[in-house]
Amino acid sequence: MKVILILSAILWLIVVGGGLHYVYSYENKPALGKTSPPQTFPVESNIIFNSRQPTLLFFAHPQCPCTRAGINELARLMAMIQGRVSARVIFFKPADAEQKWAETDSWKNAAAIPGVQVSVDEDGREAKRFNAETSGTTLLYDANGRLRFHGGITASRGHEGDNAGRSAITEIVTRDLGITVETSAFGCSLFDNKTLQKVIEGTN
Amino acid sequence: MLGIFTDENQSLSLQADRIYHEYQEQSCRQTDRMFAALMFLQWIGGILSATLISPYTWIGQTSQIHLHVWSAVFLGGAISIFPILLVLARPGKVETRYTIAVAQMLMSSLLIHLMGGRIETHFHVFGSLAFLSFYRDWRVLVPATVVVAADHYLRGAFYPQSVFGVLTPDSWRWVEHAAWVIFEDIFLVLSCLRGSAEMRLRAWQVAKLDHDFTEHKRTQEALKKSEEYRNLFKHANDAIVIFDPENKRVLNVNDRACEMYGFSREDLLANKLSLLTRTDKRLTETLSKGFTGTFECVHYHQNGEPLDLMINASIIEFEGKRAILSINHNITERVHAEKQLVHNAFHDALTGLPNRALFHEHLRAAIDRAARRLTTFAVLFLDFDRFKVVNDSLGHLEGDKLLVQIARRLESCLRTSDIVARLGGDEFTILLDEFDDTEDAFSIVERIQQSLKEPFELSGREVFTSASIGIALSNAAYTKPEELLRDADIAMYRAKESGRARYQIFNQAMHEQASVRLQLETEIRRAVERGEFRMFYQPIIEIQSGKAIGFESLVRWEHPERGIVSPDDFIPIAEETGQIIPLGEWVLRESCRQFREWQNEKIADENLTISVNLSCKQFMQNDLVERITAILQETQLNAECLRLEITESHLIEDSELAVTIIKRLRDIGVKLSIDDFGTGYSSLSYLHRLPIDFLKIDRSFVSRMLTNNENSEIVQTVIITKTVRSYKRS
Repeated sequence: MKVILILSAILWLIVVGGGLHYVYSYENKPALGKTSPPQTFPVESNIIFNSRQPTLLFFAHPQCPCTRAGINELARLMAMIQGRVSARVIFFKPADAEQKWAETDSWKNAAAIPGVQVSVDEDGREAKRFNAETSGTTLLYDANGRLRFHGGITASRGHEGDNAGRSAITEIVTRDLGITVETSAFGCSLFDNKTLQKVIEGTN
Repeated sequence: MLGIFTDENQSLSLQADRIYHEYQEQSCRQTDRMFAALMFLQWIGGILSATLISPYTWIGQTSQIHLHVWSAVFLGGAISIFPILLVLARPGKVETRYTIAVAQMLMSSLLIHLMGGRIETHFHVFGSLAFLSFYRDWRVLVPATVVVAADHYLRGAFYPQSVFGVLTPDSWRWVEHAAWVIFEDIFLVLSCLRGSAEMRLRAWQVAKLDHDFTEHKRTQEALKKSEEYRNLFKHANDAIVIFDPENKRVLNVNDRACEMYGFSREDLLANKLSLLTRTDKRLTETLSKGFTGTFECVHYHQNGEPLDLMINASIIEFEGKRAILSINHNITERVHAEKQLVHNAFHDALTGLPNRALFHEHLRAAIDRAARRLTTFAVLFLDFDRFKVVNDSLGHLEGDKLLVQIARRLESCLRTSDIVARLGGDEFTILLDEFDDTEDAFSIVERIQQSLKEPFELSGREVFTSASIGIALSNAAYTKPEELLRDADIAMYRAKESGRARYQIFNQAMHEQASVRLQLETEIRRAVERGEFRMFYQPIIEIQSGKAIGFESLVRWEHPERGIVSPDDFIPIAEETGQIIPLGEWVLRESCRQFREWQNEKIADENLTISVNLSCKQFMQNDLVERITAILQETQLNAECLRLEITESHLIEDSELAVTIIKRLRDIGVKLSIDDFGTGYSSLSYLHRLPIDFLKIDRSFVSRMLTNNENSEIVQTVIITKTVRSYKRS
């Protein structure tokens, strides 16, 4: 009986430990971007570039639950660098979807952050221009249009808290380190094959 | 005293410890159940949270169920199910609460991550630890803390940012996480220890209360028992005597003892045990040997009457000293009854005389004495004449009275050393022990016979009786009582045969005659089967004409060794043994057959008759007429040719029945004749009543009639009476 109990406990620990490991792996697995964002602010973008201060772009999927953590981290970030950057959250929306599809809690939260402008990215055209494939991808261009930061501002998928991305942006904006910092982005994918095909066709 | 105190404390401590463990197990069982419920609720809560917070994950426009939902369902279930099963199977056990501690912390980890890992959700860990302190077992916090530390350490190792959240991770930051848990643990451990101490104190108090209550109850029971013992002692049905084993002084007695011995309590307490035991020292001797138990003893009442007692003695402590407790049960009546039973087993209930068994014992002792001392003794066997007549005429009650009077009269005739016994019925035996001269024995016998000549008075009537006495004198050949009794019996029969109120001394010839008789008894049985009997026919001649008017059949036994045996020797024996029935039937059948054969061969005329003697037993057979009819049919003999001869004495015994049978026989045509008329003391008036055809006057009348005139008148009277009777009948 005792042996059965011990063996059962071991088996249980293995199953539970394995399960937790799998969950943690998923949460900490970054989205792999196939291509890097443009090193300079693309001129074909419809997003207004501010030449007097850095421009912070946050690409988001309005339905992605993980992105809520990114929006909250953005709010914390903006609390520190407000007025020093021109911040914009660009929400992906399929062209055939209604506006309400994009106006989720994340949209409202983002819109509520002081100094942040919110806009819709039809079929993700802007995201494609900036090679942002993952919701939560954050880009920082300095006043000269040079890329200073790209990646995510959460430590893992959907998890708030201290993270390297937020720390790096704060440093860049406040002290202009003169380097480009890259972190991992965690979130839903902005493009599926159908959307991606449409974007490519529209661009051509 | 100190030893008792220490033992008591140790017992109390053990009791408190047991209660404490019971409380703890009970508390743990309750907490187990609470955690099982919590586990289930957390599982459901996790599923709901995951479904609400992150139901789907997206790829562009398409979505799929989020991994958080699946992990909440399956991983949450896996974490919960094992401890829940343990709670059901092994509630209150150490391994159950340890597993719950581990599972609860794993569940915390899962829920924190399902809810986005926000700092607020980490309070779940602290809440879980706090709940674990409900066990009041600080050791449970150890595996919980280990799980938290391991979880953070491993995740810090594999995914530093998820724990440390900075670009330049501090690899010891997991320790900080664990430290907060340990910080809480310190409070919780203290809380557990406090709770445990309180529980232990409560257990001690309960144990003390229980102990005090038990003591109180024990005291109450002891008091009650003491009271019961006092009542038992006071009201016991047996006498209880407590005495000092050393000086035998009586220390205490109950009321029943005073009543049983007839002494006052003061008298008994002022004396020693010898007041009760007198010369019987068995009790004191038995006790002095250290024996305690149950034994029988005789004590004495104040008035000197012996008391048979069953004593149960045991050693007790009385007023701080060793004493003997003697419970004395009065068995006087039982002993008396036992003695009576023994007496009854060896004595005749009616006369109070020794019975056959006791007489045998006395006889055996006399044989032994005679062999040792070369003395002589005699055994008398008495059978009373006419006792049956008294019994039948006056009834058994009067018969019994007569036997009692005979017994007393016999006792009065004997010496003190002689023994008279009743063997049964009217048979008495007497042992005349140790006499010098045989004449002494004969004088006692004569004295007995003289005494018996005196009439006995039964309910106002005078009854006379006499005894036939057989005497067997002792000799060296006798070794068994049965042999003496047998020979006295033979002698008695011989005395009876020789007439009433006689005595006969046994001699060897008697024994031989008896042996021959016994031999004949056996051989008669076989003789019928073997056909050893022969028929002889004696013609009956009419004196006037000189012609034969019939034949009388005579049976003879042609013994293979003894030759022709006279009917006087075997007929009485055949009568006694009942063999006369088959023998008589054979004689009748053979006579009829032979006579019919003679008739067929013209040797015998049709007017001739064949006379056959009929025994008494044959005559009294219920189916006699049917049997005779059957034989006549079988032999085809005319019934009128058969003449049956019956002795006069047979008819006298039951004359009414005899007349009935004779009439029935006459109805079928058989002729009847009375044989040896005149020997049966029957009167002529009686003869007048009998429907018979012939009379055979006994030869004692006829033989002397021819030589002188003696009896000739009697014979003539008989013939006249019968002739008149025949005339009237015709």
